[in-house]
Amino acid sequence: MASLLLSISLALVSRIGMLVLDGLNHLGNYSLLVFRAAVQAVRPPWRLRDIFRQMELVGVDSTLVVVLTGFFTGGVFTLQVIYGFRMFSAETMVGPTVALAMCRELGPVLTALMVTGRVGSSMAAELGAMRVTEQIDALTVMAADPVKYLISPRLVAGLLMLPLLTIVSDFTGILGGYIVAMAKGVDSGHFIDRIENLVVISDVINGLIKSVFFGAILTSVGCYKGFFTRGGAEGVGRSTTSAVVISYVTILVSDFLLTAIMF
Amino acid sequence: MGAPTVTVKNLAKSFGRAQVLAGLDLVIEPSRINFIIGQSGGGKSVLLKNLVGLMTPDQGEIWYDQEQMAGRSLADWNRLRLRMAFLFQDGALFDSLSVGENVGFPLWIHQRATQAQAAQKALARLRELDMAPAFHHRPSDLSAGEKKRVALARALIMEPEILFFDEPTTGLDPLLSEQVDDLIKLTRAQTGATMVVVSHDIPATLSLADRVAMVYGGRIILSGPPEEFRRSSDPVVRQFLTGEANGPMGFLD
Repeated sequence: MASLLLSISLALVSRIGMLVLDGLNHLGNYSLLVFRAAVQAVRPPWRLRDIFRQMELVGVDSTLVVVLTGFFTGGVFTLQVIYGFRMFSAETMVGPTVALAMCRELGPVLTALMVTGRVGSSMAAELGAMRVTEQIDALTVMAADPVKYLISPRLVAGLLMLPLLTIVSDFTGILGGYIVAMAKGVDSGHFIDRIENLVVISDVINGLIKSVFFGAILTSVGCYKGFFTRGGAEGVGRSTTSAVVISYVTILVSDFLLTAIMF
Repeated sequence: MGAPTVTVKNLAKSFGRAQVLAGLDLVIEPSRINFIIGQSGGGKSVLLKNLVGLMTPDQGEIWYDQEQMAGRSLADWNRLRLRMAFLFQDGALFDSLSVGENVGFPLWIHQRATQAQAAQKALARLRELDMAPAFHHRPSDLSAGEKKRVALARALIMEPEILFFDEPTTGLDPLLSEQVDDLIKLTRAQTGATMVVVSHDIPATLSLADRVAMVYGGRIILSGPPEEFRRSSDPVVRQFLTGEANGPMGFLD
């Protein structure tokens, strides 16, 4: 019985050890890839056409989904806040509460989650397909650094476009909240005046700083999972799924840490 | 600089417990059509990927003329890669670019050609291979044979001294296979480049090759002109030539 327990314990420790080593291996490869992409992003020649194309895919093409998400999140959040604040006659605080929630938290996080679902997954799938069809090897054999041509433009696009999308989300969220508040009989003047009084520029800027981190996370994780895809079409599917899951979890964890540091 | 002589010494490569190359020696002669043959999964493509630096061998040396390349830096490989081209089995054309952009891509990145200059040269190359009408098409619109021709146009645009082909006729019908074989012959005649063709296509090997090397058990078991290959009494070579199921050559995983 004792020997059985010992062998089970050893197997468990061995399994945990392998998982830790595997995790560290991934972390090392990921860090190296991001470092190489960052170095290549600032080293000429700059592939401006590629960067603008990625900015269009990450930013312009995501605008509608970000507008809808921001608008309805602001609207439904306002509904709940009005319900709660009416219990102690604090409707005048609805505006700043919605605005602070959107600028500090909901705008950056929801935008990052929506863009991850739309763009992070497609980056993983596209690069994964390029890997399994040997297009990345073809770039390497042509003496063209695939990190420079494929990853750096995506990383730059993520860093630049997420803050812009977050501004759109913040604005539409507050607009959604305003429309719902008006429909529920909240005073328009109070809603706007209190926002002006209680929301400061650092609330908006800190939210935008968060979004820069989120942009880096979702693009780098998507690119990493796609770039190191193995195992044909099935491998591409696995990479896409894990890129989204890892990005979601990392964004939420880093949001907690950034909030604790910044606010 | 002329086409280089490639010399491989004692090359070994394993994946986990599976040893794919086990001390392989090979000489690739310049300006010749060199075929590397062997059964599927026998390590031919692994050898080819080691030769172009896509894989790093566990041990051994890869000489391009007087320069040993195994284990060298990316910058050293990239300098050498400007003299070579590689044709992947399915072409490996970039899906996001048009046919013309695919062919002009190496000029665009290495010679800083403008889009118009790259397009002009790409069109000329495509015209030589009867693919000019596909200039604005996407690779996904092309048949397998057309993709191979576009990939060849892309490979030739930098006028390489050595061309590597990974199973160029696999998956093609006999007519297309013959067209690809003719392209290999024509390209060698026009450019004088060294051709390294990995294949298990026996008729193409016998009709095209200047030299044949057969990989078996991770080593070269025969290397010489096609006549030598045809006359060989080695049971493994005989079995591969005749395609009999029974013989010393077993199935690979």
